[in-house]
Amino acid sequence: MTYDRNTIRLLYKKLITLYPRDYKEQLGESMEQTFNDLFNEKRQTKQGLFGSVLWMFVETATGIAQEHILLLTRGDIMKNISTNPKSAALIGFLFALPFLILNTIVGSRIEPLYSLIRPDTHTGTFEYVLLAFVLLVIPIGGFIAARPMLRIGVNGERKFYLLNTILAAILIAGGIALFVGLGSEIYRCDVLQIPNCD
Amino acid sequence: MTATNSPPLTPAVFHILLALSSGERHGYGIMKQVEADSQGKVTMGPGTLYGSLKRMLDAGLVRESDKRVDPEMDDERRIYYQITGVGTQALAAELERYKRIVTLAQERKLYPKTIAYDV
Repeated sequence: MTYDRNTIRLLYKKLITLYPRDYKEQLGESMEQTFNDLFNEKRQTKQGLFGSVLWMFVETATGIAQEHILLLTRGDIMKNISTNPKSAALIGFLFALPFLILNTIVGSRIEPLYSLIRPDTHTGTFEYVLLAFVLLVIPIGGFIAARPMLRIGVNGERKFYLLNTILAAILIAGGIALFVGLGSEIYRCDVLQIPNCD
Repeated sequence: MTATNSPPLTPAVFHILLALSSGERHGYGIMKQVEADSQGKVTMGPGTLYGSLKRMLDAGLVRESDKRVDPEMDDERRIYYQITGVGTQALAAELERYKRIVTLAQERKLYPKTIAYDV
């Protein structure tokens, strides 16, 4: 398999843009250079290139999540999500992850988590509460993604960010649609107990 | 911060300080030195390395040196990092802690027999 050096470099450069702004400005260039050095080294030795590149992407993505969590715990997150559209989009997207994870666990019956969520054969109260929670946080993620556009700048104007707009629309509309759709199905099937309502 | 009251270091920070104790290095150079110092046992990715460097820069353990070309690599200019006085003290304090632990392990005869011949 051949790997296009420039595409991989470009992808890594894009990945680095997801770091918080201060971090990116201070270390982004060095990180990119170090990645290129490691990539060149692996290309020359021709050993485990794919595995190494994949590991570096995963390791860097973990670092990005860690830096955002650190900002959150330091209390700088509100400043970051209101001023940095990429951070806001990333954090907004993270709010959709609990639903995606829950859906994967239940849909694919991943053990032992599946049995923890659904100890009986039917959906229980715990699962309903969990589902309601993960569905409710999706629109919150949408509002977070839209936050930089709601902020009025020093010149009295609001800025428009396409990615944030799309993400916010998907999260808010999708979250509400899922909540209403699943809620009505649960009401008909489990509360009213209409036969063959699935 | 003195050597005695310096808090314990994370393994990543310790290895980076150790790598920088023998001279200024750029990011890739630090990674290679850490790998060499640990005989290949410690491998750091860019996320871990720069995450640690960010906190070390903020804590004043290291500082950015000037940008220059590495004669052994391509002609791109790189940012070099160097250990500070605070960093040297923190490294010394950590080594002192390691030394005390080794002494304690020797006293309690916790060393494997293969190593016990050397101590």
